[in-house]
Formats: sequence, structure tokens, C-alpha cells
Amino acid sequence: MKGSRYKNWELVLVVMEADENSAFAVETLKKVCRQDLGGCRFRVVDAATDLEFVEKHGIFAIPTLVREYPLPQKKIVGSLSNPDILLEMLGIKKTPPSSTS
Amino acid sequence: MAEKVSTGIEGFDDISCGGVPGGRVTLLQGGPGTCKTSFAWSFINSGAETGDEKGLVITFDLIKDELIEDMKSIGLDLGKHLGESIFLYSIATVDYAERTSGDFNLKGLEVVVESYAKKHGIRRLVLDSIQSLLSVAINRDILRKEIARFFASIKNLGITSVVISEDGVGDFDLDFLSDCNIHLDMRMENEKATRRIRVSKMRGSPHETNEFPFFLGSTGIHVVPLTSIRLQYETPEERYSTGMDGLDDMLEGKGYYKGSSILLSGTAGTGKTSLACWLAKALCRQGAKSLYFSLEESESQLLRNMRSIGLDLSKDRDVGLFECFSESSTALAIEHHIGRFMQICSEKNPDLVVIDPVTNFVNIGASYQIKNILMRLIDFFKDRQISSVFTSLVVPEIPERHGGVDISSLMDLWIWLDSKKKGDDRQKTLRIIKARGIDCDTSDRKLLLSREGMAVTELGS
Repeated sequence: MKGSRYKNWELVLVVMEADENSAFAVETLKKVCRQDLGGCRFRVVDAATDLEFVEKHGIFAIPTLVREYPLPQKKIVGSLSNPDILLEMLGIKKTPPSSTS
Repeated sequence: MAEKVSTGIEGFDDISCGGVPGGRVTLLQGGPGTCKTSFAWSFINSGAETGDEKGLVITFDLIKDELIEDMKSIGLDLGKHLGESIFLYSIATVDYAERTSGDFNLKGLEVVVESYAKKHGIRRLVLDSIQSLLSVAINRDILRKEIARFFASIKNLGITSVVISEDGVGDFDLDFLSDCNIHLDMRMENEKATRRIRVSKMRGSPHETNEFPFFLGSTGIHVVPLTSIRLQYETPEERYSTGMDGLDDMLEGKGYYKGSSILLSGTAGTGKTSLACWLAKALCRQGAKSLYFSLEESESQLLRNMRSIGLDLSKDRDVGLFECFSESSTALAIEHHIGRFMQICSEKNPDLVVIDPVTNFVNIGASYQIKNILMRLIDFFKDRQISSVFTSLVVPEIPERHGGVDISSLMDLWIWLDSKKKGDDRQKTLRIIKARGIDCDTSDRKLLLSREGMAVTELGS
């Protein structure tokens, strides 16, 4: 059920090489996708090589997560160190930690 | 010392000794409505206009058509440059919901600037504004650190940049990170909005430190460089006839020096405006050009009134030798008036300028300012060898004062007009109080005004 709900989501994470925050964001997003987004996949874009994507979305900070679909488009700037903000932005209610265990 | 890069903003390059420092970061600070964006775009546009330097503008929430229209209203034609020599990088925020979570850097901006530098060879950059970054990237400490790094990276590329910072929004202490700081300000004085510009810092370069008035007109921003008085102009030997033999005779038979400042003082109805127009007409006859700045009368009113003393300026107007610009003195702040005079003079290149009456300025500015401002204006005229005529309405009770300001010391030639009771009639008289560099006749003369024209004769005649 969960998988079908997030299957056509388009998430793109804009990162740069050798950037700690980028690495952290990739790991966090992996985890969130697995746990809360039914294994939804995301694309990683290197700002230095995919300038077209950077310009299209007016990216200025690294890393930035772009939710291209579903609309409205959303951007979350930073290493995603706070999963609550991430889930809130993505419109997913986070299950309290106590009930998952 | 960094080479200066011209901003194309009239007057600003004067007060900053050439413009903003090349390859460095200039911080442009000011509250809302202080023309920060207009300043920045003028800077970008001038690089494109001269064909010397392409520019990139990083901006937020921007609607391109609106921008083009807005800038057209201040005389910038961006349409032809966009995509060719001016590029826009829009950090779209309107179309997105945006949040910050965790650490970040501004390398996204860096790659964009680098790529435009590589691909298009941009040499100028505008970031509009720092606070917009803050609105989407809420971590202030990171942002400050990242802005510092971003500044360093654009300097590395040798790009001359102007970064806009909103006054009072987010205290970043950016002054220390930049090489040049410019403050824009708008305040109310005598119920008129006056704008000021100040360069508070410019590393490794001289610049004026005073505040200067500026205004935004249909041809862009004009800074009025009030205190940059040079007093270093050529002194012309050439003389101009006053158009009246009687008056020329009082001036060694040769008239006044080209580039002189001339003060015509008198109470109401003594012929100040008539004499000013007569001096203008005398030049028109020789094919020279006069501009008339009237602070009281419309052009048609002036031309009609002058016809009553046999002075027809309409033909001169039609061939472009006489032009009248009317604006009520109370409509604008004095700096704005002066700036407008300068702007028009730069454009029209006249030989003579009349300001009628200069005393009207007393109503709209503090008296200590007026002398300074007029001094600057006269300096501007002399630098261009433009002769200037100022009429001054004298209040009978305090004849030595010109509406409260003594401006006679700024004048090369001072003519006093009067009207004396003679029988049942009144007789107009004229005398020269001073004429620098001329052995003048200072005795009283009769000034005749009739349908046949104007003449100066001996008193008894």
C-alpha cells in the first residue's frame, strides 16, 4: 500500500563532491525513504555537473532537496539533520518513536 | 589599489573617484525605497551598454517583464541586453515551499557564478539581496560564514560585484566582509522626500566621505556632487555683449566675461526677469544657446510678457537657441532642482543659463545649505564655461539680504535694479555694484523698458 502511494514521487537531492553535509543528507534521505516513504527512490544530482537542473530550480545552497512531484514543488535546504522538518515538509506525519518499537 | 569600475551613475563616479573597486565586493545598504535595485541595475546596465563588461544578476522572486518595465521607467533598456550581455539567475522562491534543516553551504551560488564566468565571461555581479537568502536559509551563523566564503570566491574570479543588503533586516556585520560600503537613505526634510548617498568605506582608495543628495529621474539615478568643488577651471578672456550699448559701456564697452556668474537684484517690478531675458536674447542673436529655468512662470507666460518689451524669443525657441524649463520651486527639494539643472545642462550644452528667481530656493531649504548648493552649481557652470544669471527678489526692509541668504559673494557681476519715484511716475534705475576683473562704471543709470525694447541711459537724459 505504502509503496504505491510514493511510487511516482520525484525527489532530487542536489549535492557536491567532498561535502560532508551532502553525504549526511544522502544517508538521511536513504533512511527516510526506506522507513517513511515506502522505499521511494530519489535521484542525486551533482551541482557542479548538472547546471541545468541547478538553474531550473534556482538552487543556491548545497545540499538542497527538491520535491519535483507531487506539486507543489518543495525545496529543503541543508543536511536534513532534522528528520521532523523533512517529514513535515514532505507532508508525512511522523509516527512517534514509541509506537514503532 | 584596485582599479575603479564605472557605475554609469551620474555623479556617483565623481564622489567615489571613479566608481566601485574593480574585482572587489561592494555592499549596497539601505532601507526600503532607497533605490538599491535601481543602483545595482544601473551598474550592470552600464557594463552592457559600453560593451565592456557582461553582468549576472542573482535575484529572488523576480518577474522578468515587470523588471524590464520598471527599469525602462528610469531609462534603462534591459530588453536588448538580457541573454546577450546581462544574465539573470533567479532563485525562485515563490513557486516553492521552502525550509531549512541542518547545515548547508552556498556552493550552489558559487558554481552558478563560475559557470557564467566561464561560459559568458561575466565581469560584473549583483546579488539582490542578502536578506532574501536569509528568508530561505534561516541559519544566520552558517549564512554569515558562507557569505564570507562566497565573497572570497567571486573576488577570486576577479568579478566586480554589488551586493544589496536591506537595512535593519538581519544584523550580519557584513561591513567587515566587503571592500566598499555604500549607504542609501531617504528622509523627509521640509515635507519633501530627499535621498542621500554616502560611501562609508573603500579599501585602498580615496573617496568623498560626505553625504550627497541624489534623485531618481527618467534617465536614472543622479547623484548631486555638492561638495566636490574643484575651482580649477580655465578663466575665459572672451566677453559677451549685454545687448544694450548703455550697459556694455559701463563694462569697459565690452560686456561681461564668458562664464561669469551674474546676480540681478531688485525689489518686485524692477525689471529683473526682463534684463535676464535680454541677456539671453543677446546671446541668441550671436547664435549661442540659452536655457531659462523659471521657478515661477510658464514658458508661454514668459514669452508673452517679454513681447511687451519688444523681445521675441519664440523664434529662438523654435530653432533651439532658447529653451525654457518651468518647475515650481516648491515641487522638489533644492538638491533635486540643482541636480535637474545640471542634468539638463549636461545634455543641452548651453552658453548661458538663467535661474529666475534664485531667491525662491530660500523657501525650500535651510539657508546654510543654499549657499553651499549654489556654490556647487556655479562651480559646475564655470567648469563648463557657462555664463549664469540669477535673479534675486529683494525684500525692501533688508535690501542687503537676498531673501535671507547672502549669495552676492559667489557672483562675478552684481547688478542692482531699483525703481525711484519721479513726479507721479516711477523710474527704473540700474547700477553695477561689482564686476570682477572689469573696470566698471558704478554710477546710477536709467533703465528704459518699452515696446521698442530695453535700454540703459544716463540718469538726466
